[in-house]
Amino acid sequence: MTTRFPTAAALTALFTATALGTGNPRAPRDLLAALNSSTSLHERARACQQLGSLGTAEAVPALAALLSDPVLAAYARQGLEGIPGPEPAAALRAALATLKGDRLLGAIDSLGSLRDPKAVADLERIAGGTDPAATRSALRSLGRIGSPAAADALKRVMTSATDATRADAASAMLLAADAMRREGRAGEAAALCDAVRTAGVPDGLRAAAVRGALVARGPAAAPLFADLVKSADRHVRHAALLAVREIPSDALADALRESLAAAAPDLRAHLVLAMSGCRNDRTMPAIRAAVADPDAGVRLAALTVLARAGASAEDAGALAAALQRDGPAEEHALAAEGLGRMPGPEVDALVLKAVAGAAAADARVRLIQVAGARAPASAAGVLMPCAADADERVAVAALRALKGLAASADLPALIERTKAAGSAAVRAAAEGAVHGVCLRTGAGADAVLREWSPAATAADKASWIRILGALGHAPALPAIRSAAADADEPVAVCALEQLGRWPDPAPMTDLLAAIDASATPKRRAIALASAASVAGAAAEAGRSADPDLSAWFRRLVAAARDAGEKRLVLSGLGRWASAEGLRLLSPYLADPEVAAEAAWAVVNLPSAIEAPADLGALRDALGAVAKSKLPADVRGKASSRLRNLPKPPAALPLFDGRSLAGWEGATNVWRVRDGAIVGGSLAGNPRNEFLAADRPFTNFVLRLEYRLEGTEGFVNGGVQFRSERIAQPPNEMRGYQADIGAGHSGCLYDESRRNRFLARAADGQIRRLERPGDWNRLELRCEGSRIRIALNGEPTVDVVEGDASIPAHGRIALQIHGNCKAEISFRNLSIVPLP
Amino acid sequence: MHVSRRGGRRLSRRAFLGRSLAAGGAAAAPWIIPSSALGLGGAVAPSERIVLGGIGVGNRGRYVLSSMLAEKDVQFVANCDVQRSRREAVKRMVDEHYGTTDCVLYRDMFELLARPDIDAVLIATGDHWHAPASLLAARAGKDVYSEKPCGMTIGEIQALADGIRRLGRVYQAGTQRRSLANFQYAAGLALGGKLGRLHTLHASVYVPRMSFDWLPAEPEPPKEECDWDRWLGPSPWRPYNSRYVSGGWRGHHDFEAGGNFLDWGAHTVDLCQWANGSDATMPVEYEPTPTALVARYANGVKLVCDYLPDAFGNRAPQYRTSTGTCPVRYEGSEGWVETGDNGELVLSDSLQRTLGRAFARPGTSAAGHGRNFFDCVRSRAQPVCNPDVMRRSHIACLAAALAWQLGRPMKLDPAKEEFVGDDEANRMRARVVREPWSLHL
Repeated sequence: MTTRFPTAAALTALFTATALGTGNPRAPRDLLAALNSSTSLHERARACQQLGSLGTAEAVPALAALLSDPVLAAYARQGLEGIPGPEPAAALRAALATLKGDRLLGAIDSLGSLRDPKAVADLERIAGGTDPAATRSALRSLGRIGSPAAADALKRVMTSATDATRADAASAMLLAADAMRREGRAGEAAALCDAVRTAGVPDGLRAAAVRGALVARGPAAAPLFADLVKSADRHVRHAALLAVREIPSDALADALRESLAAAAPDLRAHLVLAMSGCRNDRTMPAIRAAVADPDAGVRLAALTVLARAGASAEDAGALAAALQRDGPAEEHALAAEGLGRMPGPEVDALVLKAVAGAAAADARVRLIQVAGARAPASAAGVLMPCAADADERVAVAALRALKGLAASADLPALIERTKAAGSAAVRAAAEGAVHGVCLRTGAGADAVLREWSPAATAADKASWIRILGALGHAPALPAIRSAAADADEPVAVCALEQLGRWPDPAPMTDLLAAIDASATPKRRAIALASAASVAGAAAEAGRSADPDLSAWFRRLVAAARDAGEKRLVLSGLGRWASAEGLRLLSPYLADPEVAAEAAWAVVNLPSAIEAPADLGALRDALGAVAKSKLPADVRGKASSRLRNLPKPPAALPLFDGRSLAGWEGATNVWRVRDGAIVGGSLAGNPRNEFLAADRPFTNFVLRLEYRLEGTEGFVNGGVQFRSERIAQPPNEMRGYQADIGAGHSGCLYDESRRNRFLARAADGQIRRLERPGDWNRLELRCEGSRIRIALNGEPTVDVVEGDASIPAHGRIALQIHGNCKAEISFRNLSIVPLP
Repeated sequence: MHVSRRGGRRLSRRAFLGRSLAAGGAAAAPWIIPSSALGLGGAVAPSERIVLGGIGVGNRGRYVLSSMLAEKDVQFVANCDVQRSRREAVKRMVDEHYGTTDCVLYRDMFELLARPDIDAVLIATGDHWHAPASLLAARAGKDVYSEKPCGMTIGEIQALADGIRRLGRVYQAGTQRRSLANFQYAAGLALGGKLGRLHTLHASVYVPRMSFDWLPAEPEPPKEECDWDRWLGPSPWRPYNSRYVSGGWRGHHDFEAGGNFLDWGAHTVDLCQWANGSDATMPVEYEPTPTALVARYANGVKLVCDYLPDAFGNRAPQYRTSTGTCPVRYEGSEGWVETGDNGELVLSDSLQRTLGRAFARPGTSAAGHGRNFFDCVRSRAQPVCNPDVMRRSHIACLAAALAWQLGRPMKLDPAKEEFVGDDEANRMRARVVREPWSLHL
């Protein structure tokens, strides 16, 4: 994909429009000045904010003076909190004495943000005061400061009477502990958390303290954990179990395991789950044992862990045993998931051995499913006998598994199994296995084809058709074609269906013929559906320009008789991203039976249809849907797609209607009059003269109007393109010319180069189209080597340049011919550059 | 824990859930097995339902709420909003869903948070309240589903992530595209090596803008209609104007995070972080250009945040318009994939042949993301967009927005979450929370 950016001008405009601030000065001194002198609240607020990122100590006094201002305090705090050095904290501390209410809370909070250790004494004093909000705020800030002195202050507050204060102090202590832990002061952190968890605080805080205490201890947490997990308080127990996954270690894994023995079933289940995030080699035997626990919750927990973390043969063995036991579906699902996940041939062997030895049919089925998911090559030997098991469930499971792992050597037996199938389910599974082998090995289809014979049973024929059809086996096509006309209806229908899934359009002619020739309505319907599907698939596969595709779709459109058939055809057409497809689709928009489906087809056409330069037809179709009376949802989608179509490239004006800006040429020949460029004179033009546009173009659509008036001589002019001026004589130009006048209008001439007409329009056409002496429209379209000219809206020239040495790039110019008394005028010139 | 009816006992929800469980961070060890806990398809007894409250649920919030109401094991009981019209709109929606008149309304979030029966809250206020409200809710013992962007500054994000972990709550950031099939598939291609060695990730964002202007002052309405001071909350005071409270807060530095960079960026940068397997880190260089913010990871992978002048219309040439809004593209040595909200996946030719896959247009539904949150509320496992994941992608976004704002290239230390050699930028990592509010609890 080419990366073309929006024009630089557009983006620069956007970018500068978002430039910061409103012209505020950025130098710190200027900000301070603005703060001091400005009367506007907004400007002072803004200055405070900016001082936060740019200010220096010099600004501190002015900012501190605002700490009591109900509006500006928060802005001033922004300023103070950002300025480095000790001055802001000192100013905030000083302000504590005089601030009240919310303003005091703000200053306290800012001291917390600054983590000012010198504020501890003041904050402890405030925390011991009578204002509950200030107390809470002070405790919080002490927590954020987190120095040893702050921690001590908090501990002292913890001994205070009120519950609320104790809870706030506890919360602050946990906050401090977090910071201490991050700074490597784990011992202090643990001590703080311990103080909280042994104090009388709400459950949530105690749980958080348990977590904090364990996490702070890290690898040394095991003894505390072993203790806490036996707590009578379930909040403590649960918090301990959850904390374990943050600090997994060998010791903790052992502690978890050791706690299992004495625990009640609920706790056992939770302990096992916690092992998922914290385990070692000694953990796994305990988990395996738990898989067979009498308590269902413990079993589920163990299976959950083992399913995700199982690695050894013993783990696999435990899962396999669980899979074979009678029990709830969830347990089997987890066991199967775990066994499917564990890699390695030992596990393969274990699973297969279990398959062979399984006692009950449903246990065997589950094991077979795992074997199928694992798909080791060695499985076929064990599963083939299972495919012939008397129990249908086992046979079907085995055949399904064999689909993914049987080898070519197994093919004959699988084919026989198909023929001998006692039920539809077994037959379908056997077909799947045969198909799977052929698909994976790339061989075997011929063996299946050899089974084909007119004498085969209808059921077998259908099986071979399905298999060979799904494989897209080309040599089978004649057989399937003949089956499409088989007397037996199910066989014929099966064949027609399969032809619809053929991987290439080879069956197309047969399907189209079958539509007309079909013996029964059902066959016709299937044939048409299949044909539409094949055509649609071919269209999607990128064969959009295939001429056969047009023929097929036209046949389908003609054949569709009722609403159902039309819908089938629409489903195919909707996959074809081409102008012709759209032409075939559009009439359905007006068909009341299928208008809605047709509309959806148009709206959902692949985005490749937006590629061509001319999107007119698509726009029209979408516009018609948007304005129709169809349901709102499809109209909405049509409008939306219409809005998002690539915009036609903008036309650039070449002439401003007033001056020759952007052009150069002899100024005694070329001038502007009445909004038009005029060249030459009725008094006489001695020689060819060109007015050339400054900017060169490569691919483009050029539109203009001309008027040529003359009385004598070779009354002629033209429009040069992909041209250049010649050095000698300097009035001439070399390149393509769209000729004007003297019977040559709308023709393509090669000026001062090959000096001949490259393409001409018929004389009759020129005479019919052109209005001599009046304004005429000319359109020049250059796309690569293709050049098209249109006169007054009708194409006159459409050629492809064959000479690779001719430049496809150059200037545009207007010509008045020499040796005539004539004047040529041009107006409404515009150009659309093309990629 | 809830075990299958066939096997053992059933522990009631309250016994294991308790509203004050401490949950740590790190990897997702489940507390119980979510899928078997619910008896999906059948009705869930009221006592077993997760009780949900809403804070600041406006237009976007109602969209998320609609999918949450559909969950059979969730009961929405109360809504809080500073604006009467919005409070009442949610009540109408909720009451109609349940066929009752039971939804309780509050203007003051502390009253809602004080209710012991509420287990979790949906926070869908404007950007500036997301982090403080989430922390207040966590402190009150509630689990949190918060709309993005989750915080206004790097400092706010740090305090939020640390606080949620410390308080042991389950938190899901509303970057729900991680729970949508097409984005999951695209990330899977990148993570699974199908694109080869990743070299460039594209995250679409708006053309950033940021205003420090104040709208003209208007008389403040009565508090019952709109509590302006509470609406402002942690943001510094400015005069009331009705436009702010009806969505016009966007674009204002004090109310929108990162100059609207994070409106899509919180999603698209997060998706790129995921696809790049870099949830544990973030880019180290950030460079503003006229058309994009270009960031680079330490291993050289580029993250290009393309500015879209017509984000809801024609997104060419940076992205294919047909893929929809919030598009991302992952490019590697063996191919690329592009996808967006329309669910369409566009692949490079070589991949298209082998992997082409269509998705039924899943839109931007938060249903899967909400379900993940509720499962984790029960199991105490970490949701998909948990605080650690959210932290890194948000800090990356905010760093990008700062580089745009300051108009110069910047370097970030991803471990310390500090800019290298740029004091001004470092000083802009935090903003003051207006008193009496605070982030730190």
